[in-house]
Amino acid sequence: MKKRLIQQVTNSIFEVMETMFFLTVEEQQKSDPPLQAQPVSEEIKACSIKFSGSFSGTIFLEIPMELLKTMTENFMGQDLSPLSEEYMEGTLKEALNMIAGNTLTQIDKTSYMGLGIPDITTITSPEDVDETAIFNTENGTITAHIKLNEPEQ
Amino acid sequence: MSFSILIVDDSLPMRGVLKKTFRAAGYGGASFLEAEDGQQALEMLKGNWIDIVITDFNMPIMNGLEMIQKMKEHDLFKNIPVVVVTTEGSQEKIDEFIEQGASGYIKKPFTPEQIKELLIQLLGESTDEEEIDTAGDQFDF
Repeated sequence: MKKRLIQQVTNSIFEVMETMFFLTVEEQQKSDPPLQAQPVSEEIKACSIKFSGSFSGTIFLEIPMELLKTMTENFMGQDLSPLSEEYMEGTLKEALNMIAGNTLTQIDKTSYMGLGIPDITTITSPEDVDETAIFNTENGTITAHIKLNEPEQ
Repeated sequence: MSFSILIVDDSLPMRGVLKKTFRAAGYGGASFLEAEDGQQALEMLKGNWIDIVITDFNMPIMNGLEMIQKMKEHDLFKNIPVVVVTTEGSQEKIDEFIEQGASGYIKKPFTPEQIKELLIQLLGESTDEEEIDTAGDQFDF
């Protein structure tokens, strides 16, 4: 399930980023050479959303501020400088909401999977989650994680 | 005729995108009211004439489905058409929206054409064509 879920998150990121944010994204393959470290000064915004249904867990999304600014302007269709943090966080939450909704609908088209409200969080380490996917864009790197809850006994 | 449209969504950027989409769909002359959740929307309905409500489902305090249920219990609000715009895509959920009284459903991501088609179906053709893109917005997804 973990592999299937992260694959569907990947597909949804492609669709949502291209359709709503006009961004071309490319998944980083494990065989790719490691990216140069992000500048230390680069601020990254993180967001998470919980889901529940036949299985439950959390999807995380992390996006550098510079890329988030581009996404927000593309989303709104105009230059919004100076861009408020509220707008950028709203864009991040909406992006994750659409990615999660799209993912869960594709995973199970018939039964209902409940989605929580997206929350701004801190960056999550790949060691603390089940699967991670990384995507390159011209303006920065997008990171997505999934973590499934243990089934209740 | 200009319409009065109430947009209910907890996302500030999404409310902006919806307004732009309505303008791109030919409803540039409409007046827009905004609410962040179902509870706030119900309060706005009490003090304003609204022709149509466009609502998200997944919101804090009161979600879109609970808001529709409350509207249907109210004599003055029960006939106002409500369109649900959301990422929720399961057939079970769509059936529930319609069963509870939603007039239509649009799944994100959406296009102006989808919005226009549904609004014409519910409100009739807009006469605001001359006001399209008065803000100079480029918006064509």
